[in-house]
Amino acid sequence: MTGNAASAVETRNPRGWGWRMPGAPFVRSGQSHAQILAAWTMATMIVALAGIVLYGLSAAQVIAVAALTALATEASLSALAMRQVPGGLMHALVTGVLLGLTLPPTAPWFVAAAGGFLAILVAKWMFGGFGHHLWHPAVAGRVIVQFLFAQHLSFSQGLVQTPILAPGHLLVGQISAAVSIPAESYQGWSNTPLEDSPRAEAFLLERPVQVLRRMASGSLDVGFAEPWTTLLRDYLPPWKDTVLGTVPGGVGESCTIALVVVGMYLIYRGHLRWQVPVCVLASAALTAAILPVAVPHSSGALRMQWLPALVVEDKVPVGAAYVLYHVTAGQLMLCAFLLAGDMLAGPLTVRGQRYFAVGVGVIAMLMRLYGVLEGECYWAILIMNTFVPAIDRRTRRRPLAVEPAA
Amino acid sequence: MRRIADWMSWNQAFDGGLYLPDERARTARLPIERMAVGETLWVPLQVRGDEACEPVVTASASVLGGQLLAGGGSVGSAAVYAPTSGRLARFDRVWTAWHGFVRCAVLEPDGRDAWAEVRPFASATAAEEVREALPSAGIMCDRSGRSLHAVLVSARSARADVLIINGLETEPYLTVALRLLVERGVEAVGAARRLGEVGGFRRTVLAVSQRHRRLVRRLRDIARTSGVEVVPLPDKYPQCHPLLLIHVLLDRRIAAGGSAIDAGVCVISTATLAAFSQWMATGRPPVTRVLTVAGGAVARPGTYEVAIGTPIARVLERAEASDGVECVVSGGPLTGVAVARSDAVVSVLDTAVLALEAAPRPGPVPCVRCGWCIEDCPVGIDPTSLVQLEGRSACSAEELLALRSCIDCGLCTYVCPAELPLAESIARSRARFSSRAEVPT
Repeated sequence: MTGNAASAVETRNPRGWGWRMPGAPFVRSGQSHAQILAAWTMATMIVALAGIVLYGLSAAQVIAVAALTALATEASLSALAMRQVPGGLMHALVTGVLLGLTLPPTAPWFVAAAGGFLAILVAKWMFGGFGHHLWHPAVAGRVIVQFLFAQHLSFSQGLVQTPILAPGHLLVGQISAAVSIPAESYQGWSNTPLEDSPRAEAFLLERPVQVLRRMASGSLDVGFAEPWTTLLRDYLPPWKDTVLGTVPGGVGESCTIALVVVGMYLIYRGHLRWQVPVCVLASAALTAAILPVAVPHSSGALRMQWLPALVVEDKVPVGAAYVLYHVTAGQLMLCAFLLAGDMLAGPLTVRGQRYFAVGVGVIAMLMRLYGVLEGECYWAILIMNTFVPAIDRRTRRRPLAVEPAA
Repeated sequence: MRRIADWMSWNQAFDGGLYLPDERARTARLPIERMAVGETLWVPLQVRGDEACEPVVTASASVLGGQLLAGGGSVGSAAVYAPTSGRLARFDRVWTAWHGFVRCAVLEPDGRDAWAEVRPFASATAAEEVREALPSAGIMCDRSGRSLHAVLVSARSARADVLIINGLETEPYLTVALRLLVERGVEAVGAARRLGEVGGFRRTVLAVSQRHRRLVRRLRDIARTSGVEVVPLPDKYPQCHPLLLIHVLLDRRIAAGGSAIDAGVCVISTATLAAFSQWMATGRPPVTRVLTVAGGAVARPGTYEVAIGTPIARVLERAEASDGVECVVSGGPLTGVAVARSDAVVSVLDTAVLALEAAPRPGPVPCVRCGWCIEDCPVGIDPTSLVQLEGRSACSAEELLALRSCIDCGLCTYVCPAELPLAESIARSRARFSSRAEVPT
């Protein structure tokens, strides 16, 4: 697309050295959408690999089915619409892998397939395809299958405990050969023996997020003497496990360390603004630190404990540990580093992205503490995606020049 | 590091902009090389887009170097002088990069380079006298395309009080200002002082890149007693644009679409200052251009001093450009124009000749909403939403202000990962809506 003047010149240029006539600028930064997509694909693949190591081949199956379905849907829809967008397939691949990362490794193949199909069809193509969608396709797909297949995805319907491969069985173990461990006798991932059941290759445990949700609603039996210490000692795995990812959860939700590493890589490449993860995590931590949690009182009733971050029991700052668990356990890290920073579904300006990220963190934590819907971080992202046009309108930069005097 | 410095506001800098790849490593240290005149010079007789100069010599006359060939038309145009001595063969037309086909005088140099009688100005010459002689000096300001005389006249009528000498080159490849300041620093500072006096400015500022610390120190030493302020600035593109110089140095704002003069500031490039300096010292009008000849397709890049009217092909040949040159640009790689014909000649507005390798690019994809064009825009507008004006028949006052604020720096197109022609689209919309706004409805 050169200017009209330039193309007119080109036609009456009978000789010459074959000089081409583009308009200024004549150089480009060399950053292309293909590179951005390639970096994002690599980032999601690394997190997927971490998930496969932690949850075995079932996780690989979930990711592969989700990614292949997304790819096939994208290919057939673009053939049907006769509109090929360069990078469309790559974007579908990233969407599919991201969707796989949000699903539990126990999800049956048809859940992943339905998610991949619906993510591309409903959230992407029904809004006009690549570059036009309002909601993050992977997150929207995840929320839709949460409704369609609640019995396979919901904690309240049969998924009270979910598996994590035991030490010595990483990557090759079967999560179906899992043994249920009572919360009180669990000593952390590396310290809990599996000897009494030789066929077992995985632990069945409650997800830390679910424990934290039950704690907030007061349904966790922690006693009134030292409720926070009891929570940390008897119900939650060691904090180190939530960083390494050796806790039950979604395929890509639990491995904090992998998410931080790929997030840093994307920030280094300039494809993710550091303000997004920092604002998500900081606002979520602040919300968890301030908002009240129902803890048992000596009278037997529940009392609302405001500012839980400041709780100190027996000279141990247990409240701060509780906030740390909120940050590293579950979907928040995945949301902060891979889902909230998505270019297509997020605001344009840095200022807008800050507001967006703070909104995600606060809404996710509110839904985790007081909501009933599962997948709270995904809901938070969809809710904030809805506000992106409004955020964009309100966070425009002010032009440097002033209005000329009439 | 410099990005951190910007962020922490250690640097004097504007919001947005980008540190572009330098591409100057091979040429920055090479001295300016004088290129011998060829067998024929096609001297353009038109220095402005809208009016040609009237020739004052007849064909087949023999002329001396510095002899008047064509007189300036209006006040904005400068007179044209012969670059060297020789026979004026005929009048013809020739292609120039900025003005297309213009009338030219075909000069066949005789090799003697004999010069007409010229009168240098003594250092004690009164400013008034210099000002009176300035219309016949033939000095053009390369950026605005107006004669130095015209610029000073409008600066006086706008009561401009600050003169900024623009010694910054923030686009890749360009080395003209750097080499001129390195080699002719003493003359440049002296000329800046004289120009400040001639134009009646209260302040004279010489803006240079803060990266060249030795140059900054040296210029400060030279300028200590002269009243010229040497201000180092980060070479973040487009700091070299007058609007941003004024914003950063003086914190003044320009009305959208206005020029620096409206803000009471006169911005002059280093090349213009060098021409003024030479004219003051020797009385000779500027008949050469200092050009950066560089680019991926050039084997011997450098800074060359070339007589006006030399074919660009000859300049490229001298710099050993390869045969497979795809794209030749006059000016910087972000703001220049493509040289459309291979028989184009060097005119007074050229600052660089770049032979770039035009890489094949994939076609544009939909906006990927990276927000880079907004983040890097130096004037704070929103290119990606202004593109949507292409298909519309009306635009709001806010959008019109944004369109007029654009300074055509080209950064939005430069950074766009979706290969969208953002800058081009904004320029097109601006032309469309600005003309429409002036028509009373």
